[in-house]
Amino acid sequence: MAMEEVQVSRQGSLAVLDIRGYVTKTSGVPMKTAFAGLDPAVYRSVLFRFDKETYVNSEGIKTIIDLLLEAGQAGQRVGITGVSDHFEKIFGMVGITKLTRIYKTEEEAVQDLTPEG
Amino acid sequence: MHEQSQAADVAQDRLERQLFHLKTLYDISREMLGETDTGRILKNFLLMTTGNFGTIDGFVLLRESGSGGIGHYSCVGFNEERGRGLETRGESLLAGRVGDAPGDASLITAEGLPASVVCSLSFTVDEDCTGLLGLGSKIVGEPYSDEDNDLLLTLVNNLVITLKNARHAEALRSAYEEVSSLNRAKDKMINHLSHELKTPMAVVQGSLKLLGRHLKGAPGEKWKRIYDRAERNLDRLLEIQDEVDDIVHGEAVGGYHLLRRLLDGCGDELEVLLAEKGTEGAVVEWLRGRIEEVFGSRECEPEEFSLGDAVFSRLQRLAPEFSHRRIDLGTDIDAGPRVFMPREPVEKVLAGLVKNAVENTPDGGRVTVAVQRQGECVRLKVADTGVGILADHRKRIFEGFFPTQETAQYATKVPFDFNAGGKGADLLRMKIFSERYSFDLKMDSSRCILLEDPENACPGDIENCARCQKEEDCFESGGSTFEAVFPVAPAGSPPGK
Repeated sequence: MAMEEVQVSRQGSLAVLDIRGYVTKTSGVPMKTAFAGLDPAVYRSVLFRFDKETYVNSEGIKTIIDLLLEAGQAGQRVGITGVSDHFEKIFGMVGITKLTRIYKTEEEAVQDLTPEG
Repeated sequence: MHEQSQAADVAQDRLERQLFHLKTLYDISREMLGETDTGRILKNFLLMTTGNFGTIDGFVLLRESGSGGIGHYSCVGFNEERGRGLETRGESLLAGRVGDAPGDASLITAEGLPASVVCSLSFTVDEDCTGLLGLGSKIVGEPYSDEDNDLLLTLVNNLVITLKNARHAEALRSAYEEVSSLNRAKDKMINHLSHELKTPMAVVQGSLKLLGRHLKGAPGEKWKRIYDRAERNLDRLLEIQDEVDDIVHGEAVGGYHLLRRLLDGCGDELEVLLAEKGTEGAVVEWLRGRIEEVFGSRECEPEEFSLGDAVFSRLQRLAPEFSHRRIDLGTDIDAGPRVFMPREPVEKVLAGLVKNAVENTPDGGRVTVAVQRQGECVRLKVADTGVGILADHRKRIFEGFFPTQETAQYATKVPFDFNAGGKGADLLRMKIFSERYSFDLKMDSSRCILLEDPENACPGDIENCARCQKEEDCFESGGSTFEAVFPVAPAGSPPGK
């Protein structure tokens, strides 16, 4: 199922983006839109929350890489959680793990990404 | 045990990597299937390829040897200035590669490109188009492996196929646009020519009639033969002009509006002046009708009417025109079914089909006209027991200006004579009417078996056919059936006058 919108929840200076479905170039657009709406001065860190069913193709990976680079330039910290074992390996293979950290659990991510956590 | 587990993990990782690569290959093939926009193809390809290998920078460009420049360029990760530099350098790198076999893709050492481009690959789309793909270093810092290079070549070969399709589609689109433009120019020219001919021909026709009236009392029959020949050929020209007008959907001729305005403004004065010359009666009305007929527009208003009645009435007016022929005209007309469309094209279709049938049927033959309702359609069928149409000609019969007989065979040019034939514009006109007024036109024909040898010719009279013992022998040997299938008038259509 193609991703149509990205839910954003906020926990202090941390914004959590829920990424579900099939992430491609087209469905990467709502991801970019949601990300663009996060003022780096307010949201110092961002968490991409996947679920085990989320599928990301090569275009989706390029979208994620670009967002990670953009966040890095804006001085935001980004984390990823909830990805399947398969995509954890793929993210490692394409270098996403060089740009960000993949957390085993959401709690661990929240704790690490928020100063108040 | 530990080593086995490690080997299994390595194999598992390798499998997952290959699975991901295969998915990329599948996505590239699927997403590009049917895509004909070269810019979008390159952009999507670059996104997928850079995503697949985990690189930040990449570019792809196409060079057209015809124009000697970069036709398309797409890049990711490079800023504008570096992007422009890549374009220039890429162009000169590709300039030396014209002549490679289409489809060839190979890894190259591309000197002069930015150091961040660590993998370059050139490819040939066709003899006029070459391309260059450049990828930056992987984020993970590993070099491109042999396996990566193999995958890259496969991906690029997919790209080449998609680009070839896109270029063919573009060439087709461009050829279609050119043909359409030429077609419009041709229509305009024919329309113009038809209009230019219309006025002088109307004048010649009027003058000829006047001449005929003056010569009526003159002695001798010599002038009559010359006069008849001139009139016959003028009628033929007028008929062609009329057909062409219908084909190009003729609009009112330039002088039409001026003549109408003059008539509307000075109708009474004209009548008084003509009365002085002894011409009395509804002259102005007659003149108005003639102006409409000769110079008016071909726009027809649709109306609801009985197809059977219209066909019957038109047939009655038509029959005297071929009374000199021994043709058995049969009818099977149901007056019930009604259609909703302009009446004039229907009458022209009927006249054209009957004329075509009579001219292709030898004396002693039979022509049948039928109108029958079938479901939501009304069928107008004109069948003849004539010579039929050659199989090769059947496909082209509605193309226009395609005579089914050799020109030498219709030398008399007298309408409705056997083999009188014509330029074939009448059938094209019917086809155009069928498209303009949304009805179907069908044809079924079998060539007379006795004429299979092109050397044999029909004598034009069954009595003179050496191969027919009786009329039925001719009826069974071949013939044609043309059908015009009209939709039944929808309920509530405006009734005809």
